[in-house]
Amino acid sequence: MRSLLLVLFSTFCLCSFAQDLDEDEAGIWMIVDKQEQYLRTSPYRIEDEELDRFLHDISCQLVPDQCNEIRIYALRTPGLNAFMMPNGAMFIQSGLLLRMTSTSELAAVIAHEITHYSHKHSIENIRRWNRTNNAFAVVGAVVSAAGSIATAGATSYESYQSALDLSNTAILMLQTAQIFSAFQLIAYGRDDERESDTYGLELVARAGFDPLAAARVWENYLIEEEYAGNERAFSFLSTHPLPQDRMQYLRELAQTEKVGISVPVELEDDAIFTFVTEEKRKEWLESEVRALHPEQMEGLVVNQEKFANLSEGYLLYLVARGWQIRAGRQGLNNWEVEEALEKSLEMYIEASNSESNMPTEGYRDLAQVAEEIGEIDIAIEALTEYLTLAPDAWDSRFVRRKIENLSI
Amino acid sequence: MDSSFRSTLKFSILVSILILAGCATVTTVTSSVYHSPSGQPPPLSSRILIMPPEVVVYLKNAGGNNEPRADWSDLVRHNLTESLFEYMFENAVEVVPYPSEALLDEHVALLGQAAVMMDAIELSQYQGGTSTGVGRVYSLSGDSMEAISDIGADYVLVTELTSKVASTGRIAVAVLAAVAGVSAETSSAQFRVGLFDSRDGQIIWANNDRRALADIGNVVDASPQNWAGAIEHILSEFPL
Repeated sequence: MRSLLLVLFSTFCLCSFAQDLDEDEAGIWMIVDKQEQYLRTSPYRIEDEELDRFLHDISCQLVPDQCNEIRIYALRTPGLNAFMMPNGAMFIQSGLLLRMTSTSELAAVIAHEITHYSHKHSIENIRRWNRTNNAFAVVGAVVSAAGSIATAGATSYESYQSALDLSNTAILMLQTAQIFSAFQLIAYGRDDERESDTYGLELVARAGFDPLAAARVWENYLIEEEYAGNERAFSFLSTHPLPQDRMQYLRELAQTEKVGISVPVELEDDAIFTFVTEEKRKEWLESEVRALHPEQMEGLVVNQEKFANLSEGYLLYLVARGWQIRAGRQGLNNWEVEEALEKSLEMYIEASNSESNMPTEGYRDLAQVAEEIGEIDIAIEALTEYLTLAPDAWDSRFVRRKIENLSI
Repeated sequence: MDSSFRSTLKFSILVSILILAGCATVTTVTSSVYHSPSGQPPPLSSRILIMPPEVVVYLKNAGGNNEPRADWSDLVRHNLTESLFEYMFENAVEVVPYPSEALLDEHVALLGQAAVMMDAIELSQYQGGTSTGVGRVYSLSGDSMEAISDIGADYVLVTELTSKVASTGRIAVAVLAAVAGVSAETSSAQFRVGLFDSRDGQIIWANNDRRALADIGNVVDASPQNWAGAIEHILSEFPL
């Protein structure tokens, strides 16, 4: 009788959480519309009509029939990243824009994101999580309730103990199944990424962009990872395929029949440099300094040297500054702080010796690092150079006082 | 049915009723009405701009996840706005209509700042703190005030309502969980309002209906009487 009641009750539970799928999609759109409006009006948005038009033109070249549904915004945020909302709003971070060496590479990223939208990946992902969560909640509640009823109704210690053991075993099995299903859901996420890479590449080739560009995005990123000493291995918790795998399969795919269906592209491959100007590149690169480990920053600088019109002294200064900032971070061991300071000093000196000098404030920063290490002569020399280059700087009187103190 | 099963069942039903009736809510603050310590008394003929209420209604599914529902949110936003307008009419407060159906981009920052101020007031009330005593002065930024300057209102009313409506699956899970001696969250509602002086941007009055669920009931099916009661309650000590 008890079991019958429980079976009836759990059947009722399982039937009652079914929801019209269109309703859930409309709800998700409502929330992301708000988020889009928030980001669109955020001070982090890069307000540049020409850049907006350029991004829109790329999307129209990729998906002419769909581009009016897609809105692309650029955000002043570090990191190689872009994200697509399920309502057709795409956000591209400045950290990604500055890493692009051609319009085709940017087109490859946009095509990847468009695929997430057209294949409704995020909506499907939310639905999968909800379905799984619902099922586990119902089964979990039924198992727990059954266990409680069985133990409460036990007539002897033995029957109480066996009911408790059975109930605990069932809960343990359920928890194990829940962990495996979480891994499975994450695996679906990786599949979505692979699908976006593959279909996105098809869009890129069909639109006439360079199909090898997608692999090149990862190739350049891997240089950064290599400098940072990151050796990524597959993990069940990875939401994306490994960068080296993506580079590999994208390169192989680019060399297949899809290249043959190319049409002449209307956008020049170096058009991106019209929008990512030297001034903007500098601003965006500077926001990467605090976000990246200085070793990865070194990798980024090595890449930038290949195509960006920035002086060597400036780029080395960024790396030196990165090490200096790291030395001041909380939670580092003494030897890590010393290592960071030494590397910073080395980079500052290299930057100051390069043919194209580092920015003036670099000499003041160099002096700070040298003083911390105990290289007083270098500190005095750097501060003197700073005063020579900027005699009327706001801090010139402090710098003079500092030179006097250090000279004692 | 043997006696032990019957007693377990009785106990479970009692626990379920308690959960569904919302008896588990513990409130430590008795009054949540805030009056600015430096707000000026409103002039007799004041015009109020009612910003589009920020309403999000979720379906709490069996697993406890909150699924946003656009149709319910639209319906609740409409009913809430109507009730607010009716209250203003009944109390002879002149309303300036919002110039658009949806929130305009230039007013996003204003709502964000209003939310932060209301958060700060609530937090300080929980700490037994500053908002009811000597108090701090909270006000909107110059840009936000500039964005509403053309509308011609003396006061701006910001309303937020977030509600989670438990699905039948969720209620069933909560009942089963209660049998096992575990509580599972079901329906809930957070409802708050703030009134801003559009001359200096100060929040002059605010309130948070801590018994919103009891006042409104299920927000999707709430009757006009329920809405009127909830509005009457949340606008207690309303200065206009």
